[in-house]
Amino acid sequence: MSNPIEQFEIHSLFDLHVGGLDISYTNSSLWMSIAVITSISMLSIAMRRKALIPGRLQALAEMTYEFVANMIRENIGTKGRQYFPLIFTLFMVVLLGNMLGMLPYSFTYTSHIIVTAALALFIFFIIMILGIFRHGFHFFSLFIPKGVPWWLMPLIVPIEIMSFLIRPMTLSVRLFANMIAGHIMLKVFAGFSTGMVALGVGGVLGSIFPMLFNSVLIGFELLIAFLQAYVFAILSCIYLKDTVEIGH
Amino acid sequence: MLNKILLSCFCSFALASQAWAETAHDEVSNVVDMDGKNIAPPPIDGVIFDHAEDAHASSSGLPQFDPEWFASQVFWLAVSCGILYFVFSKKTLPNISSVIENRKNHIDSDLETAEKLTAEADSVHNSYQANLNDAQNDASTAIKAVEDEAKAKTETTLNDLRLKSDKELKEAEKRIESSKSAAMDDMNQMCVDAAAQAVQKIIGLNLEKSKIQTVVKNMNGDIQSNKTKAA
Repeated sequence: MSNPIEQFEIHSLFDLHVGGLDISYTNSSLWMSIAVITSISMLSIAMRRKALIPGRLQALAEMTYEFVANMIRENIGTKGRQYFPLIFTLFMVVLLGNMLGMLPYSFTYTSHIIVTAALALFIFFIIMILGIFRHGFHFFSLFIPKGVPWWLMPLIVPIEIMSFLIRPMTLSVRLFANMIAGHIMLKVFAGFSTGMVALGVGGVLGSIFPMLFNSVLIGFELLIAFLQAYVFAILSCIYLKDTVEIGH
Repeated sequence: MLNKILLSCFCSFALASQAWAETAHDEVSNVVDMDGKNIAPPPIDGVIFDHAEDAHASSSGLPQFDPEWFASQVFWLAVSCGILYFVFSKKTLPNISSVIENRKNHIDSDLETAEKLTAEADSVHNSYQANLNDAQNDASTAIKAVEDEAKAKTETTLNDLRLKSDKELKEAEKRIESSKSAAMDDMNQMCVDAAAQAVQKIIGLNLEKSKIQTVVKNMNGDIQSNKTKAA
């Protein structure tokens, strides 16, 4: 039986070493490039005609735009407009990574902890740098919630600092774990089918059940793929809100 | 709906076939791996050699925790995100927002025109209503005037007729009265004459007509009184 972990393995397509770092072009990089090309060309083709009455593809592109725009408006406010390209890019990177991963024989780069961690840390550092740059020392009042009695501060402040520091971790692990679990499950059920085929005629007939179950799982995974991209983007919005205004 | 079911069935089938293919591939390539990997890439420097060692050491765990490809993935992720951010912020997003803005303006202007037209239609409708009301009022006053006139005319004609007929009636009554009294006088005269002749014949006496006349008159008066008594 095939190994369900094998789908996450990376192999180099084009070796590249710069300054002692191995930055070879791998299958992961290939699917990142495919995501870039797909999202840009999709949106460009969709908006090619700039029709007043949108066609299907244009409606999809505009829906994506409005979706992200609403997310930012609701979670950051009007000042969040400056982050629109950033959130849109993050959303598209994660969404395309998850969705392309649903294609057979593809590679899911969002199922790699290093990728999700890089995205989450990037957001984390942006928040730190922009927050301190904009609010100065006042940024650290983030850790002192309003309306808490002073004698609770020794307890509350470490908790707040902890929850702030753990953000990139939860953000990255949530996406990574969802993706890896889903793909392993799909592969395991697919493996059941092939394993049954090896048993003979009865197995061939029986192999249809794991396959049908996999059909349901694929629908479920598509939902998760979208949902996780949404969650990633909306949490980034909520975290980025701290750079715009500090509530207390 | 059916399309979606078919598509997901197809995907699961493809997944199964992929699993199948990889199983087959494993069985074949295991042999090659054994003798191929260690010999084929000659160790140019220490780094690559170490990597090969790492790969072998961590092949049992999740590939996600193998730090061999961390640098490459972060690098290419950064490149991809950079390209996406650049293209999105410079071209795609302004494009979409301009289209949406354009449509919004168009719809707004359309709504404005529609509002203006509605107001116009309302004013036209109002003036039409006013005209209609005026016309109705005019018509009703005209009808009333005509009716009144006709009524007055009939009234006067009727009055005239009544007066005329009353007059004629009175004249006729008067005429009847006068002819009645004339007839009465004639009858009295005849009575007087007859009485005179009768007196003359019976007793041969020529009585003065005036005397007979008074007698007749008295008798007349008695008859008259009897009549009223009877009535």
